Amino acid sequence: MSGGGTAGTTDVDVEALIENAEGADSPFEYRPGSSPLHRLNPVTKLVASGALILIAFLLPTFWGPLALTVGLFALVATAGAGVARSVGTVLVAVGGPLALSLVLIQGLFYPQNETVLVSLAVPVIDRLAFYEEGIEFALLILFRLTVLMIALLGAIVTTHPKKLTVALMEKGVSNKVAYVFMAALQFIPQMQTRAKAILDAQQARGLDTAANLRRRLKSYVALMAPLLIGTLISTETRALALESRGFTRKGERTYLLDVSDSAFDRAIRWLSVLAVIAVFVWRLLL
Amino acid sequence: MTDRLGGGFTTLAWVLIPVAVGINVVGGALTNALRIPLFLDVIGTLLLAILAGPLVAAVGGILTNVVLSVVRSPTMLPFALTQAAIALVAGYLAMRGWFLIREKRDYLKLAGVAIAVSAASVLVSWPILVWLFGGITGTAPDVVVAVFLASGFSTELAVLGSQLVMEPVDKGASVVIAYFIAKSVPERYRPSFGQRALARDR
Repeated sequence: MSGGGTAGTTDVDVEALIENAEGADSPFEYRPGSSPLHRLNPVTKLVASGALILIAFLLPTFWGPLALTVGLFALVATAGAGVARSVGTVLVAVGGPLALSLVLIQGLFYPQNETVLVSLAVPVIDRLAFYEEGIEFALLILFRLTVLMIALLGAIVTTHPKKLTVALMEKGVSNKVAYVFMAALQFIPQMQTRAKAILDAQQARGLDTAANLRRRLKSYVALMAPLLIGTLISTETRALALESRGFTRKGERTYLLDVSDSAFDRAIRWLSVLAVIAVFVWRLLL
Repeated sequence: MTDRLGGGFTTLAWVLIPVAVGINVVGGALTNALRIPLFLDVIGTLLLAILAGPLVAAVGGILTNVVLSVVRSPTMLPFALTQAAIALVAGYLAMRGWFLIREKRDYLKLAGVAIAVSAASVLVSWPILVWLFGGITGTAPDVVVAVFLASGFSTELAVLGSQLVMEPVDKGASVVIAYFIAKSVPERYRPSFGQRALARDR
């Protein structure tokens, strides 16, 4: 799939194994594919996302971030229907409530409000006025945050976590940080299952989820302690296993996975940095 | 000194970090089950601060919000800085023996930790909330901000006000819960930093 480089000495197609390993059910999980976005180096995607987010926050009116939001979503949608659906789901689930409270609160109460945009007749308090300044501010913040969401999600959903860690290690990130990131991502579903089991067990023993707050806070400790201790016991084993595989050893490492880093990737990274500098200088001069 | 600060980035400490991240993330699910009206999303970070020191805890705290931005909402990412500040403050206090509780009176120390941690949290979250979000994040505290805004406060003061109302309660409860969970960890499984930071079991 990717071009160039030595992919190790095994006959097994590691990429295919990873691609087919797990089914995706959460909107944040990796969506397999072979679009140009999938093939970019993961670090390139992170740099480009970071640059786009910075630019969105540097632009002064909501039109810029709005254009970026639309353009980015179109770009992400080219990576496949699954990717578009994932990003869209999160946009609606997170952006929906955000948009609602932004428009309501800023539209009504933004401190610089002057020009009335719409005035609604409401019972009890007579009139409810939405102001232009507040709505514009709400849209500015909203579209900045949607750029942040689409850029990061687009990068996450089109990148397999293992490829990301390999790419980061090749760029000089410590293998420990990379391990910790992967392990945390893998731990969370495990711990969720375990937490649910503990919750069920304690409820069978008469845990009262409707008691007063003090008791419920106490029950919280009773739920967390077994979760933590159970996980700690398995961490000791994990520490031994890692140690026996040379986790703390220094020196060159070889990777089973080959992550390509083409001239195109480098060009995008440089362009991202230049674009941020350009927008920053433009904002300084104006 | 640096060794004490780091609490030693031993393999055991590195393995504890994902556990703490898991606790931060899963803790939220348990608060929902118990219907506790708080976030309690720094308990894992505080546990790391007590058991493994400020620097390990800071790595865990930052990673928590990196992971949260991957599994919950990308808007959580900027608050990684808040987690780091809380980790450094709590870890430093743990190093200075503020979690060494031998008699009843010593529980006052936990109140001190709670105040310091809340202050750190407010100081770091405040500029992020004002500059990046304009005060509104699409979560429950928006209501408090709205009340302040409606009473004629500026965005800066409204955010500060809502933070001062919410943070001490949330972070206070988190500190106390983290202490008791840390105490419930058998001594055998505490890293050496944690053995010094907590009183011995009798």
